[in-house]
Amino acid sequence: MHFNKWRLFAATTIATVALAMPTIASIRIVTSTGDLADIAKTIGQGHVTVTRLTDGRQDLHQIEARPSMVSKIRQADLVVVIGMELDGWMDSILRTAGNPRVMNGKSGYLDASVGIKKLPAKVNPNAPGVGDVHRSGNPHYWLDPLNGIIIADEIRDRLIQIDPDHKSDYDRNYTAFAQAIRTDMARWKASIAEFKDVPVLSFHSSWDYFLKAFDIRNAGTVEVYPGMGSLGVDLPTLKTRINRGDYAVLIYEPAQAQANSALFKHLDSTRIRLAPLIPSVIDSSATATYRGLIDHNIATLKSALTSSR
Amino acid sequence: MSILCVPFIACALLAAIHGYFGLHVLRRGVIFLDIALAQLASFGALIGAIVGFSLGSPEGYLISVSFTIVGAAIFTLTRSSARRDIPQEAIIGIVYVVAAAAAIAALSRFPGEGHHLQEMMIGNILFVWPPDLFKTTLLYAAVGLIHWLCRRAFWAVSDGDTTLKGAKWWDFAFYATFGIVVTSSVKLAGVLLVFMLLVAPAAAALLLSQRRPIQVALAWIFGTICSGVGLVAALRWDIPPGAAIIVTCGAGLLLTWGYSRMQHS
Repeated sequence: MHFNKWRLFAATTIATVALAMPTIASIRIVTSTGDLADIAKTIGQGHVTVTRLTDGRQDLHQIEARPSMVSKIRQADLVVVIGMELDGWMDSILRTAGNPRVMNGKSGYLDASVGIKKLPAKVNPNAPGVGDVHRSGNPHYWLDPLNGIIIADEIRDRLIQIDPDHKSDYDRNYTAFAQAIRTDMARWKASIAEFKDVPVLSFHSSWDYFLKAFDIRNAGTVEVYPGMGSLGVDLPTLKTRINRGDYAVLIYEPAQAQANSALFKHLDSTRIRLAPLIPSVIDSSATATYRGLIDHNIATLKSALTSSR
Repeated sequence: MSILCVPFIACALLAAIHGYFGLHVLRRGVIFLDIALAQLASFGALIGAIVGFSLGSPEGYLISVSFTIVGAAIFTLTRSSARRDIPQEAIIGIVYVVAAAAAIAALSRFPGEGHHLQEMMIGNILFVWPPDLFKTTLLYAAVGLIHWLCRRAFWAVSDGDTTLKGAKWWDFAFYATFGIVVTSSVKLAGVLLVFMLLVAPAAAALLLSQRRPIQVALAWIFGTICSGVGLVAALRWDIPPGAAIIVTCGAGLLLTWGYSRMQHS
């Protein structure tokens, strides 16, 4: 038997492919929102493929399930949800998909809210009713960047459980992400530090974590019944309080302005400055990443705060 | 493909019982009866939840069903004492709106997750859970059997035969059994899909045949085929299956109408 160039080539090729296999077979992560998807992508870089089931433009309460969502969950190795009843429809999809790897309680199922220090759901002390209150607290926790680090930490732990071979990569990615957020955090805080005493009103209570994280004065919400829009809002009183200077800036989400256009028309004629913030990561936009999302919101809020002076 | 296996079986089941009830409903001219009864049932379930019985519990179900029965009694009384100038459909509309508004009023004061409760009362065909499907099948089989055994009386009251002995009670039995079926269906498949599977297959069957047994069979076949086509379309274009089936039923009805026009000209 003599030496054969082709045989060597074939053997090398097979060996290379075999060695490369573990990196090709990446961990499939499915998340309910784009924020979780972006953090998962950052932590799992190179070893994961991440799919998100919704877009920041959609109302997480009202998601119509599509067949592809079930198939994606069927193939998933790790499912990450916001939890706290915000994306409860994920549970229905998980049940229908019947994928044993990602069932609630398995290492492939991560409720990102577990490690979060939760704020109560109700902040408006004048509200006579309760409306759409989440029993387990206010679920908009990802808007506090430090909670982003907690989410990243939880995702890292799960990735290490599922794929211990790449532990050092996940650790390194996590450390870099946490470091970047902390650096940004200092910059973000500094950029709006001078507006500490400006009272900021939110349309819905979705900005409680955000306002707290940046030491901004939270003056409550426009909504009387959480999630019920302008229902029951006492417009004359609201206007009086705006004119009196109780509220200087209003944070709202674009979809809320569309759904309550009559109310917003009235607000346009008042002194209140509008800050349209984006609640969740949206692909191919300025807010396509988690850090980009916070960055964009801080910049928008800052310009509203500045003009309120 | 297997994702849509259970939903298809559920649709075939819904098409069977609702195709039959749809023929009654069209005969009586009470098109929105199902929506009114379903809304009453979900208001009942909500009251049950506020009192402290969880949605899945037997007590909660009992409260929900008793609200449906009250609705059945209202419709029985308003039908037999029908004034010409106030159509039955007006009463149905009023019952629906009152039940819906009462639910909104109750929800606004209910310290819990209102959205969540409503979601649990209104199902999605994609999420049909096999054990639920099995229970529902048994219930429909029982109702179907009662209607088969008493078919003469049920059709007589729907045809408006007042000479029948105990016509009022048969009327009540019709509304009550229909209410119980609709409540389970809505929980399984949602309001819109249940409404479509009730009315469209029956209308198509009426276009194609004059004979009742054939109409019942045609309604089921129509509903099942449209569901199958709708589900395949949902998979192909990745759209919510309920919506896909409803649109397919509408298209199917249009085709059937065109076909029947061709036959008659």
